[in-house]
Amino acid sequence: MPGSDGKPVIEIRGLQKVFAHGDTEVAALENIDIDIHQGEFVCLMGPSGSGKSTLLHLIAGLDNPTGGQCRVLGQELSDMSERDLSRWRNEHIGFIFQSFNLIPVLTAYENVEMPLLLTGLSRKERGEHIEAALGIVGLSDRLTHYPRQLSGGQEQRVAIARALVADPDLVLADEPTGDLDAKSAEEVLTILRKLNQDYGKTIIMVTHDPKASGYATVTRHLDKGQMLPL
Amino acid sequence: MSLFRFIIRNVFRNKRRAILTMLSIAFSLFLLLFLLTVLNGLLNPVTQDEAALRLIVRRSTSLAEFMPIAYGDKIRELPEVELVTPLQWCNFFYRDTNNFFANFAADPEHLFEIYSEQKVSPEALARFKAERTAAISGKDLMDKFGWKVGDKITLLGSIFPVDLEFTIVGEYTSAEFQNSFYLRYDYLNEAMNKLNQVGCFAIKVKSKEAVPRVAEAVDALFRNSPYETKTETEKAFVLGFVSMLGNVKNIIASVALVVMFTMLLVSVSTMSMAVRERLREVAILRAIGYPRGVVVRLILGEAFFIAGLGTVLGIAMAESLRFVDLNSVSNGFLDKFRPEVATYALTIAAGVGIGLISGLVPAVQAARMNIVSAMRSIE
Repeated sequence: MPGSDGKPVIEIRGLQKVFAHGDTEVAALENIDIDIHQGEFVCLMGPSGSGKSTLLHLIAGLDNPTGGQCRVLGQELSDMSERDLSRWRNEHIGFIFQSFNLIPVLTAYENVEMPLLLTGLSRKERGEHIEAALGIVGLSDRLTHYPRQLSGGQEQRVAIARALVADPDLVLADEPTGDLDAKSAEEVLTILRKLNQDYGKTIIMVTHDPKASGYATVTRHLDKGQMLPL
Repeated sequence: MSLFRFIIRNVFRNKRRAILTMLSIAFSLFLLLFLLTVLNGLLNPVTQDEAALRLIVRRSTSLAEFMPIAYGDKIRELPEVELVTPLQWCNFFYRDTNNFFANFAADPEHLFEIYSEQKVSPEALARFKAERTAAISGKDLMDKFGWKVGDKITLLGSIFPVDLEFTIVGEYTSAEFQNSFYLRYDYLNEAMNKLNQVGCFAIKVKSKEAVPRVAEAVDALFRNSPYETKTETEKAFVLGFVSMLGNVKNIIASVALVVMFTMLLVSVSTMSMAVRERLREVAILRAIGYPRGVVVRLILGEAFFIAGLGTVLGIAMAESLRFVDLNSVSNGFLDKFRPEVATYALTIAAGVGIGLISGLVPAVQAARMNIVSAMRSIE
């Protein structure tokens, strides 16, 4: 696995992201330097507009930096083509979103299967992966349920299973508890911690919630596009 | 689950919209297939092999004008002419003007030798030649009006202001049209107090090679007379007759084009709306690793599926016209519904085109969108 030799799985140096709105330019990130190692559960905190989600998107290769370097799992993302980036995300990144973003016309099983449809796995192999992922999040009995038949917490757990199913090296969670009640949020955070501790997954979680940071091994704060010192 | 199944799920996500879109495409393609078939019928009238030996003589100035019946004898004397008959369009009606059909006055001696593809029994032909009021009807016309051999019927005049009684002595059958009605020219002539004029002659020429020579010879024979003629092949004559309908061809072609263009706009709009409603999902698919090409294929697949079902349904609707008596419904303007292979191909191509264009526009938009912007705009 990339980064298992002690080198950081994410190396960010002088990372910048500037958004242009007409003639106005807004710096979302300025000279970010950060290393994240294999097996860390990093919590990125900061007020709205601090640039934490932007940083997460750059790490996932969903957007291009304006300057600096962003090396993830040994790959310099800015050197990769759009097609290679897609394949790389499918193989190495698991994404969890604030509003779950499940596809309403697919069952829990089928939603979790979506990332696997791009792989060469057989139907039986896909089934084994899906049942294992849904088992980890405690939803083995909800395989045929549609998102509308699930609670918010259950939907987010299906989304976590979707992020896990391809056995990614890196799990990126953008405000995963933002739309959940306290009990469901705690369940989701417990699952994320289990993924980190029991399965060795490297997790980067963006959150506003100070309680959520208690589940992480490392917490970093951003403010006005800058990473605050530890 | 496969990506194809995912496409099907997306198609029927909004069942009402999917079904209405399919029906819209189906009706449009049905209309296109129907109009193209009518247009093709007008541009390429069906003629029998026997028609290759036939010429039609009419006045050079207008189809509505007459020439002397005596011209028939002069034409018959030309060396390469085998047979001649007067062929007068009578425009009689049965009972009322809604019952319109083709009826011609002709020479009973030679009519069915010249139109040899129209088969008549020897008994019927003998009676047609022997009885002045005898008439022979096409089989379809007999069936339509419930006529039987031996029936006496009265037809109402319009061009010729006389109502005439006929005895149906037999029916003719043919691989093509079976909707004409033949009466004797001498009976019409007498009823019109020695009209001694006719609108057309039909000629059977001795060989195909002689056809252009005979056409030229007939027109040369009457050149500089008060009744100059225009002699042409049967197909050219029918096309000339169709041209009297004015701009019907252009109108049909224009309607077909407008229908297709409108359908294209509706389909593009519908597919764009369907994709725009799901931009969040498209962004998520991209985020979890779906490349642009797969996203384009998924959206195109939806559009093709809808257009494909619409095309199949449209063609099935058009095929059902084979069981409709178009001749009766259209008062003789249309005969049987028989689209050509090229017309089917064009209809299918139109369906594929609708699928391609209606899917391509939103697919390219979805593929080009910025994933982060799409996710930000919705969260």
